[in-house]
Parts: sequence; C-alpha cells; structure tokens
Amino acid sequence: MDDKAQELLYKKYFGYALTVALLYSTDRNDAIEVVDDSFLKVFSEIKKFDISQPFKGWLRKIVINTAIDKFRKKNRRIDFKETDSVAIQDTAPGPISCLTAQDIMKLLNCLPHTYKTVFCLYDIEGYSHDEIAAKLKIPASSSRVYLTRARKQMRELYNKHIND
Amino acid sequence: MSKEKEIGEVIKEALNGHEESYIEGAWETFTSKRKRKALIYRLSASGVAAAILLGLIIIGTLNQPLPEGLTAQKEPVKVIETPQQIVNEVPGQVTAVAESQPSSISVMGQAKISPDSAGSSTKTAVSSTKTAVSSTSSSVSSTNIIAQNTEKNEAAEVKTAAVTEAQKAAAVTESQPQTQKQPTNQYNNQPLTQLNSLSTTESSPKTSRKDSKLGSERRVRIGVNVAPGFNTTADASAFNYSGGVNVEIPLSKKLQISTGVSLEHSNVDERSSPRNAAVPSYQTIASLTNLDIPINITWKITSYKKTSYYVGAGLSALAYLSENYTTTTRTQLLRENTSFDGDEYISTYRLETVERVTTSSGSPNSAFDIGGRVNLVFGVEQRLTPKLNLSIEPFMKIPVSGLATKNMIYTTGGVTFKVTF
Repeated sequence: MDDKAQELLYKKYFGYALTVALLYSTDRNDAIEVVDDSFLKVFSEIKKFDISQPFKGWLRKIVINTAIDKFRKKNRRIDFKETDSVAIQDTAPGPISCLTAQDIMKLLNCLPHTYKTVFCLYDIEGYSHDEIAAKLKIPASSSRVYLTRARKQMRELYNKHIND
Repeated sequence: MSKEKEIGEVIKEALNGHEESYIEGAWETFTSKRKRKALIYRLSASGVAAAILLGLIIIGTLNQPLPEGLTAQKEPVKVIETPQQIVNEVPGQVTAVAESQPSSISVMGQAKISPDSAGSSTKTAVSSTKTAVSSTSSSVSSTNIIAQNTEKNEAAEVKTAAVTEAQKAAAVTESQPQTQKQPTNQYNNQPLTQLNSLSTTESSPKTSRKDSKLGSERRVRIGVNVAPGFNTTADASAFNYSGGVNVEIPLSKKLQISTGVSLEHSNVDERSSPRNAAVPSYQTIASLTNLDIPINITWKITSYKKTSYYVGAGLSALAYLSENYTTTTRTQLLRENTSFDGDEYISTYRLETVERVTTSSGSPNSAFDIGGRVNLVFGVEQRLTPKLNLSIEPFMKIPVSGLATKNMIYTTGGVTFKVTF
C-alpha cells in the first residue's frame, strides 16, 4: 500500500474513526491518539482485511480494541472488586429524543470513564456483559453494576440538561 | 427497564448519523508520528542487539578456557613439590599443613612418614600412604584416616621429643628410598633437584611455543576495504560507496577492536509527504562526501581452519568534507484568468503546479557527527595465505540522530570487502 493510498484512506475514514474513538476516550487528544494507533494497525494489517466485508466495520473493531487496550493500560492499577448487581429505581421522565449527537457526546463525557466504556460497549456496540468483562478484564457482575449506574447517571444528566 | 433500553437506543440512533470532520494537518501529524515511532523502534532494536552482543562477548570472555599448555605444565610441578615439603618439613609443621589442608589426602598420608620413620621403621609410612590413596574414593573414610593420622602425629611428636638431630637426619635418609618405592609417582625416582630442573625444561618449550603462537594470533593487523551500499530514507533509496583503511586490534582470542578511516560518498533522497497535493511537495537530494571513523567491537562466533564468522557492533564518527543539496519544492496554485467579452466579465480558474529548485552546499568540515551512527556487522573471514585474509561483511549503519548540516535521517546498508594483512 503506497503512501498516497494510505493518505486517501486516512483522510476518508478519519472522521468516522474519531467518532468511535471519542466514545471510548476521556478527551479529544486521547481520541486522536487512538485513531492514529488504529490506522497504524490498519496499514500494517491491511492484507488480512476481507474485501467482502465492509471496511467501516473492520475499522470500528480496530478502533474499539485500540481504545480498550489504552483503557486497560490506564486502569491497570485500579482494583475492580466483585460487586453484586443492584437494581436501581428508574426515575426517568420519559423517552429522550430531543438530544443532538453533540449533546449526547457532552453527556457521555460527564460519566466516569469506566461507566462510559461499559455503557457504550453494551448499548451501542451490543456486547454482552461476559464479553465486556473479558475485554476490560473486570468481573461480569461489575459490568452489570457499571451499566446500571451509567444509565442512571445519564438520566440524571439529561434531566439537568433539560432543566438548564 | 424498557426506558433504560430506550436511552441506549436513542443514543445509538443519534450517534449513527453523526460523524466528526477531518482535522486539517492530522495526516501530517500521523506521518511524522509514524516516522518517529519507526526511528525509536530501530534505535531500540539496535540497542537490544548491542546489549545481546555485549552480553555474548562478556560471557564468551568469562568462559574462555585456560590454554592447554598452561594446565599441562602445572601438573608435574604440583607432584614434585609435595614430596619436597614432606622431606624437608619438621613433624610439627607437617601436622599443621595437614590440618590446614584436609582435602589433600595424599599429603596427609605422606605427612606421617617423618614422625614414624623417626621412631621405628618406614614400612608404616608406606602403608599409611597406601591407605590414604585408597581413601580418595570416599570422603567419609578419608576423614577417619585424617583423624587417625593426627592422633598418630601427636603421639609421634611426644616420641620425637627425645630424638636427636642425628636420628632425624637418619630418618630422612631412610625415608627417601621408601618414597622412591611408591609406584604412583614416576618422578619420585629422581632426586628433587633433578626433578625441578626436569619440570622447568619440559614446560618451557611448550610455553614458549604457545606464547609465540598467541603472539602471532594477537598481532595488530591492517587492511584496505571497499564497501558499496545503499542509503535508505523513509521514502527512497540511493547509492552509496566507501573505501579506506582499517586496523584490527585483538583484545583476546575471540574479541577485537576494529577501527580505521574511510572516505564515503553518499547520495540521499529525502521526500516529504504531500499536503493537499497530488505531487511530492518537498524533495531533497543530497550528495555528501565524508570521512567515516568507526570503532567496532567484533566477536568471533566460530572459527574453522581457514574460515571464521564474527559479529560486531560499534559507533561511527563522521566528518563531512562536502555537502551539496538540491531541493525541489512543488506547490499547487489556483490561477485566475480574467477576460472581457464586451461588457461581460469572464473569469476562469486553472490549477498550476509550481516547481522551485534550489541548490545549496555546506562548507567543508562544518558538520561533525561524533557517534552519529550505530554500526552492526556480520562477517566472514577467509584466510587466503598465512598472512592475508579476505573478509566479507554485510553491515548496517543506523543513524543515532540527524546527519550532516540538514539533519538527514538515513540508514546505510551494504557489504564491505576487506583485505587484511
């Protein structure tokens, strides 16, 4: 793959990769770093790419895995304790549909990094708790707890956002 | 629960249509980051290689066996010295030696000779020697013998208190023929003075031969070399050649320092990635002439009769004698042509590629790179005649930092053909 082709690919899919990376990163600079690392992997592993599959899906997987690797490195010293899943009362005002993507990104960034990652992996990517547990190297029960708390916090943030 | 799901679904839907825009300069940052990473990787790889090489060299140096001649000449001296001690020492001193050196069982057994021979006969001494020799097979039994011997020595000390000097002399003269009967040591049949002289006369020719052999192996060798190769940058390669003299200074049998000086002519082609343009925006072709002064440590991996294989690593200092740079910059401009068709104002736009070529040169000896490159070498040395060797060395020279006035980063690879004499 020559430089020109790499450049075209990078420029075409940078925005998409950045959108995905922003879901799993703490700030924009972190996300750009994740995107760059992901493209390094893409260029070195491009021979393994199955042309019959959509490129975006493959890139998305690489970006998520790169972001999770980074997350694991950051949280290596954090002890994830086995916690029982606690059902939290749903006090949501109703369906939220008046939010733009930018608003959602802002709300997501207000969540703790672990909550945000679990929330995105479960609700956006569709991973199961066992898969999330394996990826983040945390107990599956913790994943459930983080998801419940993330949803609750998202609802609270939404209320605050609407009231403001 | 359904509402919880709804949050996830709504967020997913909202984000599905959303995509961030491209950030200007992101590709340029990415390429520079990639280059930096590649450089760090190369440096760390060469560092690891150098560390492994150094480790191998240290292990090789520490594990070098003693020359055979030296071990052979030591053994007879040891055997000859032991009876001399026994005969000349007084009984008390012998016991002290025996206690301080419990492991030398043969000495212990023989140590009994003088006190016993002073009192009664030398037969006991012979038998005790035999016991001691047989006891070498088991450490436990030998300890018992040592204990017995010590007790007997103490008893002998009491007995010998009354013995006159004349009797001692007689015992010495009597014990000598008995010692000669020992079949274990062929040197015991000769007088000590003769044995000493024999040992020195036997060992000296070997040593001198070995020394002269080592001397011939360890002489400083000089030679001449030529090395064609390639300079490689991230985007292009260009031809490189060098030639000069080299000096090889042996440190040990397997280790040597290789140095010298060579005149090197390099062509370097460096291009930068394009920025919003279909053509390269920046290209520098450098023509460099420099002196390369390497200091490498080489280690012989294996040596055969005429061929030996070695690896080496080190640093090169570079002094630039001439530097010529041709820089081509290409930019794209949007030109507006205006024309009037009656009262109508017509403007047409045309995209033009503008090429600008600039040449520059560095003044001689204005740039020095001390320790500018890491050299990695693998070589095969073939002996052509007893005094002439041909070496073929594939090499790689990795820059530690930017080279020459324009801080160019290029890796040099090639093969050195070297004749040493």
